[in-house]
Amino acid sequence: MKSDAPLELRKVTKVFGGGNNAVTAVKDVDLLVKRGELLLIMGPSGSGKTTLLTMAGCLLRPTSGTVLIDGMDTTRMSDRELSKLRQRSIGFVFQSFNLLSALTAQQNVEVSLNLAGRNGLACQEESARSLDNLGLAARRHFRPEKLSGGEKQRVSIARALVKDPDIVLADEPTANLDSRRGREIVEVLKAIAGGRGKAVIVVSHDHRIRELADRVMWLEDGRLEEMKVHRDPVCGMEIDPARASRSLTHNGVTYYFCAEGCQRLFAEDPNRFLKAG
Amino acid sequence: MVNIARHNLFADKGRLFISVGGVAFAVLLISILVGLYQGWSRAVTLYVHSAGADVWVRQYGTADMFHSTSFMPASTADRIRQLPGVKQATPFLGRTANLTVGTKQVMAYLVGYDSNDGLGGPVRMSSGSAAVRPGEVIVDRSLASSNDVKLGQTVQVLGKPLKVVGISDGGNMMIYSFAFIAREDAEDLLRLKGVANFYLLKVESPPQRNDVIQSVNLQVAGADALSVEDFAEVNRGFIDGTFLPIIMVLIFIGFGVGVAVIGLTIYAATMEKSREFGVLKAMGATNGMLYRVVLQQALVAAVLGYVLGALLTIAVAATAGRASPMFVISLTPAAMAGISAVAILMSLAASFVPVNRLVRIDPAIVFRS
Repeated sequence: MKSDAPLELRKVTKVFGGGNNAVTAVKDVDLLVKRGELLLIMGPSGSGKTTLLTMAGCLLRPTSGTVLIDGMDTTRMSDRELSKLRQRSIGFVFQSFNLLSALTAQQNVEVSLNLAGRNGLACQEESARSLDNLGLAARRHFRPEKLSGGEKQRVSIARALVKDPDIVLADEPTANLDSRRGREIVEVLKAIAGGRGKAVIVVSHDHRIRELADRVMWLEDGRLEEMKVHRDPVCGMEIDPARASRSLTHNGVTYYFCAEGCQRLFAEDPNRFLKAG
Repeated sequence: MVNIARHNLFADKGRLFISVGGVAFAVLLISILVGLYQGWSRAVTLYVHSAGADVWVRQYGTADMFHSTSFMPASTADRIRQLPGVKQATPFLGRTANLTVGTKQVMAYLVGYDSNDGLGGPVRMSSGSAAVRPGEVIVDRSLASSNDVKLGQTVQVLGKPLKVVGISDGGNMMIYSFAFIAREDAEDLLRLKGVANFYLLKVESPPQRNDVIQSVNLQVAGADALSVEDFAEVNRGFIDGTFLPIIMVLIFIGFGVGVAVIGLTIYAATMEKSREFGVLKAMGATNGMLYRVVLQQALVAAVLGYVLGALLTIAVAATAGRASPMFVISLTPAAMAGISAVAILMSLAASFVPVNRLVRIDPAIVFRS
């Protein structure tokens, strides 16, 4: 029986390097993603988002902690077992699409089924149907170089979904798309989560996704927490940390500002504003 | 199932052309060398096989027709003729000597030959007469065509003018060819009166051949009898000893060229597509699956290269053979099968480095933009 929460991370930590050069990319992260849920993970560059996604996708082993896929502890699995797990349970959608350039759109999708051990005419038909469902019926036999960015991303989504995985991991899926196509892609991902009962995790800087996400989490300095509303401590304006142009750390806490003036005033006498807050 | 290897290979036609061309060149080089070796081996032994003898007798302790000089007195033939089972014992006189064609010196292997005996004559005639009388000479087609020698023309043989009465075929020995003169002329010109270099024996019946060989070896002092096959093999040693080491080095170079070309093109393709291989790994492809993709690419390049190389070999062999009769190429089906195995070996060797590279591709590469 399939778990209600296909993906669970328990106390996951990832440290790169050792000794004085050790860098903690992700620290003690606990995360549970349910079926039908579109989870958005946001955070500044270098915050550990991609490292977290890579571990969730079983492409990188954590230094400590446990990654559970459908209740199975993946940290004890061999590379071959992890490959098998990825073949059937995890679909990836990438920022730069990562389609195989020598193959047509349909073949790109079909390869995903081939890797899961499925071949033949039925497999071709399923790949074609998967593309049709994403509005790419007329583009099936085109190579990636002939497709627009939005079309490539939809092929990438079809490739991720065709094997019917429990988990879909999307890394900056809208980063290379214009606003309209970016929104379309997010709506597709939302439909996948809600309509097909997948656990969809999106890592992105794109604030447009926030309104469609079921849950938004913030990752900074390797720590993951529920996204809080940030306010400029000087003027009180609501600030989206992902878009904040100014920030300043005081006593270990990061504050975001709407503009340089507020930041300067805060820097001169932080206690004045913190007391008031 | 989507054949990623084939699609990758044919998507970049320029690289495919280089890869296939490199293998074809290597196959051409190897085939020509193997063909020359086989052709020369065949040419060297063809005369021995075609001389009409069942048994060749040489002076004990000597080797082949080319490396050592065998001398036996006429009395040896008298002893041999008395042995049971011997039907005929014909003296063979022959050694290398210069022919003067116009002002040009041409080396030939002169054979003193009596057409009435029916032993030791040309392999076959291309034109003119096979019956050579004193004052006449038969030259090989390779010598005739490269020196523009015509029937009826006079050439100097060891200072004596001889008229060309026949052009023979099958006597091309690469560095020189056979020329046939009357036995009387040979005795005179080669200073071999009363002696022979070899004796060519005919036996009464084929089953007696081994007995005759044994009898000669046991009862005729200073004589060493060999079956025609064994004597041909001894002569083949001339080629093996002289040319085989050179040919092997060149074949090895050809193999190296093939491996380098396939290896570099497949390696470059693997490096270029390392991100795509990373994507496949992320999607669940095992290293084994990716090895098969690279091996298949190399194998297809090798097979296509082999086919092209084989066709080029046929064309080059035909053209070069027409241009120069010294260019004797003989390729057996077994040799071609062997060369195809070499091409496959090339592809396997060429895949070694790219396959090792694949192991190190980190699937997490897919998340780097």
